[in-house]
Amino acid sequence: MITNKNSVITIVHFAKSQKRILFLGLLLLSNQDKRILSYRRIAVEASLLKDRKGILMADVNRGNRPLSPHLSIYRPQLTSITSILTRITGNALLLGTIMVIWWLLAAATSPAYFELVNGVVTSWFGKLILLGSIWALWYHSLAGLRHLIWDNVIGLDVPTAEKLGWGVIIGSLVLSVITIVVL
Amino acid sequence: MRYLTDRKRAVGLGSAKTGTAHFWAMKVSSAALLVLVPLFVWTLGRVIGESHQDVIAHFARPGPALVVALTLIVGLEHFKSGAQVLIEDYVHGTAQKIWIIAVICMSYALMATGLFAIAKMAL
Repeated sequence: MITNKNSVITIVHFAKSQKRILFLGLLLLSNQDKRILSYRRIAVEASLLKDRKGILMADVNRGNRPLSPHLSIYRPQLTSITSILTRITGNALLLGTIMVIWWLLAAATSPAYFELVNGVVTSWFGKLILLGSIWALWYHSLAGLRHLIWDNVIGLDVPTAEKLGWGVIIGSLVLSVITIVVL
Repeated sequence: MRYLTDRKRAVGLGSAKTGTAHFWAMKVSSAALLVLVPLFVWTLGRVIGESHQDVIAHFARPGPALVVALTLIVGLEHFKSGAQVLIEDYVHGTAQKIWIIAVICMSYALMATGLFAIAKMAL
């Protein structure tokens, strides 16, 4: 807070030789003037600190400020779960992508190399990654479609957003089952 | 002012100045992927687990080769930008820069590897 006392200190700090004149002048200062003087004091002190320590550092609180609430504060909701799953599925698809590209490279290289990689891809572990990737791909696609809808400021109210959320979850499962059955 | 679209008015603003371009690139690539992904799943699902001969014969055809090539280009470009946002949210400082550069390099390396494999089988 800017107080009278602060302004006095400021003025004394700025011009010790003219203390008496400024002290009298203080009575005539508006609140805005006082504020400006205080800001100048902070600026001067910051530059003095910089000169002394050779670093740029204002005399302000940098580390211990309150943070806005994040994941740990909120109760999980359908909209928040479906949102975080969008990010998780999108980035987790990297695993399946690496496996498919490795498989393509092996197919282009030699029959022996293809046998090796094809064995990995069709093993239980490879099939688990493929299965997960199919669901992740459909989930991320539907969630992305939902974002394209939202971008037009449509369906942002809670009941519609929740319906879209269920649509993404159920839709991705249905599409995954269809994919596995057909292919 | 009223002759400008909302996007046009947002271009170049913000601390990084590239946020609108990034957002728009994600929108365009996601729309493209909505078409490409079902085709990709269809064309890949038909040959995964088949014999080497069948796989090579499949990708020698223009349709499957082009669908896989396009999906790899657009998909990895989309991944690169999306993973960048993930990193920007959770990693800061020098580590953030290193992670982003690593993701960009890996995305292009994967893209190039996949395209090389497809080109070799198709030609």
